[in-house]
Amino acid sequence: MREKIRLRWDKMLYVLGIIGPGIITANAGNDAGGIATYATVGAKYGYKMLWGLALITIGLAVVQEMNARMAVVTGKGLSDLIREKFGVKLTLFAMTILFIANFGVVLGDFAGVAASMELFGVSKYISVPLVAAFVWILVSKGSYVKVEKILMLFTFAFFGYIISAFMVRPDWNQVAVSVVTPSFPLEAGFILTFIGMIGTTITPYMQFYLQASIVDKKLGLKDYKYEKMDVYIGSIWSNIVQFFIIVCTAGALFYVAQPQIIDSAASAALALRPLAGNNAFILFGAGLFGASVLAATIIPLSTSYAICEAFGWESGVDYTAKEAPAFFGIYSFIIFISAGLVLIPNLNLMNLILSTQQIAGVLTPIILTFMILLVNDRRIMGKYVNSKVQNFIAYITVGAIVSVTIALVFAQFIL
Amino acid sequence: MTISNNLFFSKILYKNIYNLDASIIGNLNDVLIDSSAVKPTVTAIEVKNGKRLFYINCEALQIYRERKDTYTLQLTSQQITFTAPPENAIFLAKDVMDRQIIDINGRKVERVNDIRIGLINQNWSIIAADIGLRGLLRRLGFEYLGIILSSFFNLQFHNKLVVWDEVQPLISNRDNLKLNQPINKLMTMHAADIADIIEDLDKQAQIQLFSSLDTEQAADVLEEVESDVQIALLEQLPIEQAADVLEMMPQDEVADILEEIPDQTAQKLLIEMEEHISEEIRELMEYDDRTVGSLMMTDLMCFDKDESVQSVLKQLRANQPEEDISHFVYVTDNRKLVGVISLMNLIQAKSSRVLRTLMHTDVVYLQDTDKIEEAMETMQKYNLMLLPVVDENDELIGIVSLIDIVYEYIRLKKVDV
Repeated sequence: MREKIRLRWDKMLYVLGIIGPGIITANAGNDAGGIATYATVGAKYGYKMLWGLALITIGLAVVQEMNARMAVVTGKGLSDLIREKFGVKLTLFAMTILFIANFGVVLGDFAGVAASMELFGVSKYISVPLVAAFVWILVSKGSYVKVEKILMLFTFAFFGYIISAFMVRPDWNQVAVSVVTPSFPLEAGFILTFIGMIGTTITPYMQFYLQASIVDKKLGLKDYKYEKMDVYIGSIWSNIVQFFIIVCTAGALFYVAQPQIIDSAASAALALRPLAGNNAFILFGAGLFGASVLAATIIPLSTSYAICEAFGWESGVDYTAKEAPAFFGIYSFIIFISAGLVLIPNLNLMNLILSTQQIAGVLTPIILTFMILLVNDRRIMGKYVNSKVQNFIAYITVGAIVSVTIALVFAQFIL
Repeated sequence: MTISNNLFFSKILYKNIYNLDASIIGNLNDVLIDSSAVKPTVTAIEVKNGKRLFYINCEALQIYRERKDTYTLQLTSQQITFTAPPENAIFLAKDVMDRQIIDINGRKVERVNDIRIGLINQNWSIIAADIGLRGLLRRLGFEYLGIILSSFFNLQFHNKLVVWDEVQPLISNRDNLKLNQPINKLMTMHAADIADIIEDLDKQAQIQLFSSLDTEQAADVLEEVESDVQIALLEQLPIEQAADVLEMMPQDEVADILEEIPDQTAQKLLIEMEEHISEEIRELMEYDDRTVGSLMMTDLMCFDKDESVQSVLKQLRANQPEEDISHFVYVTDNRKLVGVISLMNLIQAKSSRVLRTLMHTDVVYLQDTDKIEEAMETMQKYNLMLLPVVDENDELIGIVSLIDIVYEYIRLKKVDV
């Protein structure tokens, strides 16, 4: 009996060891860009986009499962696979897309640092250079793993939205109806926000980061069923948080006598008032700061790894800058240039954050197309290619994002 | 326009192939290679015309160099034998280009940016792998931009080539683990270097490379790789093969590894191993990892006190124990440790003498339950690199070396921090 319990315990520890990359990656989507976007969605359009979020969740789960499957079957990172199947030219194209999208996301995160510290009365000319230097040292010294956990703790502040969402007493009937009733006005502002929501939920960097973390964990086919669980749970859990952010901000800022538009971090924090009262700024500021610094640390590093991997350049924090110039160059460039751009005077930080997510949204289908082609290649995946249902959902996801982008161009320039 | 016999593969890949009457029959989609030789040769050419793929003999194609780095592909005979590629055929573009290779001299894993091919004895052969930036730029069509830019800075823009003799490719089919070419180029490398390379490879290539090593070398390499790679390799290897490799390794190391992998797999491996070895490993696994018992080597040289020098030397010659554990010979009486003789004394002694008359009886020893710190102190005090280990009945059960003790001490220090 005791032996049996021990075996079960061992098995549980083993499974817990496998679970993680999916949940961490999906939650990393809730960074500065994510929070700002979801808060805007709720504050500006109420529940109108909830149906979209529900569909994106399905798309995210299917896409991330593809990453997990490619990782356990091939043991290779996404950029490795792209290079080996598509050759140098298309790899350069994919890496350029990844670089632009990731640069944008980091830019958004430094804007998040600036916005959150301004809530505490710290000027961005002080906070951003300090954080940039801190992040750069963390990455160069390879010691970010320790700090990662502390920064994660900060992001628990966002769970405040879940409680707040109940406290604003939303009309749950209306919420439920909105989830299943698509509405899509052909209006540039709405479409742009919608693309931002897609871009922040299925960010290009997440696909590279997730696959790399599963490969790093040396998981094999036998761990696949747990890893699949991991990515599904991760996708659903992160989108539940997003759902409540939208419900909360909609309830607090949109369905009130005097609707508020989110044009600054301060107004986004207002939605936490029902829970935290006058401390809402502190709660929101801490969460935004932690999430922003976390993403600003991980994304430059994972971009460096992905690009160097693809071109066969030395990569890793164990090398010196002279041994691995490209590796050091890429992440240093991303950190310092994006931090520098945030320092431009008279910038609307909130708008900057939102537009970086919209750029990511437009670029997402390109990376997804590469993934779909890879995961369906029998030479690479053997019998583990996509099933018909998986392909259907994956193609629909790509098709939907592309159509939404076309709709934007249409609404912007023709209507 | 001259006949070319030496060029970069990327320069002709996807180029049109002209028939005798100057019509285009399609483009060069890939070439098939015979990878079993040390210098692989091109055996056939895959031509793509629209959506249709077909294969032509290599001899039927002539490559002309037009100007600087522009080439024309011309068929020279109507007699093209159309052959379908064999199952498991290896292609140069699909299986070698953009893939990882091992640069034996540089002891590094590199990516193939381009391939230099040349005409040797009427056969197109792979001469070298291009792993440099210039190769990347050539693929992008920016090679000359790179040359102009670097000449602007007064620099020579060199190709970074690795001669194919010094390349270990990692070509294989998805469905079997066997590498498709001889692995003998790696055999000359030191186990620690092979271990470094394996750590740099992706999971699939790791297991392919590892399983193509012979058992002895595999054991040496497994000892050198990081512990997470050790576990990954053992879990993927067929169980019999894994057990064979473990049998060749020092038992204290095996015990350490088995403690890290899931219980079920460890048990399977122990059952598969020879019984006398697995039993000793099981005993080692019982010990707390802060004690001497967890580190000791159990394959030691010990002899009964009544044996003669001659018979001991004969046994030593026959067993050939590892050099670093054979400086001393331990003497037992009914398995109890009673004395020690240095190898030097043993060699100098008359062959008819028995051990009991030669041995020192004041043996310094450790108890299997002693802490690692205690072992270090004892070794420091008596200036000894090796100490025998006894159990609670004073029976000799192993020896422990200073190197293993220090290694473990540092590891535990790290874990504590």
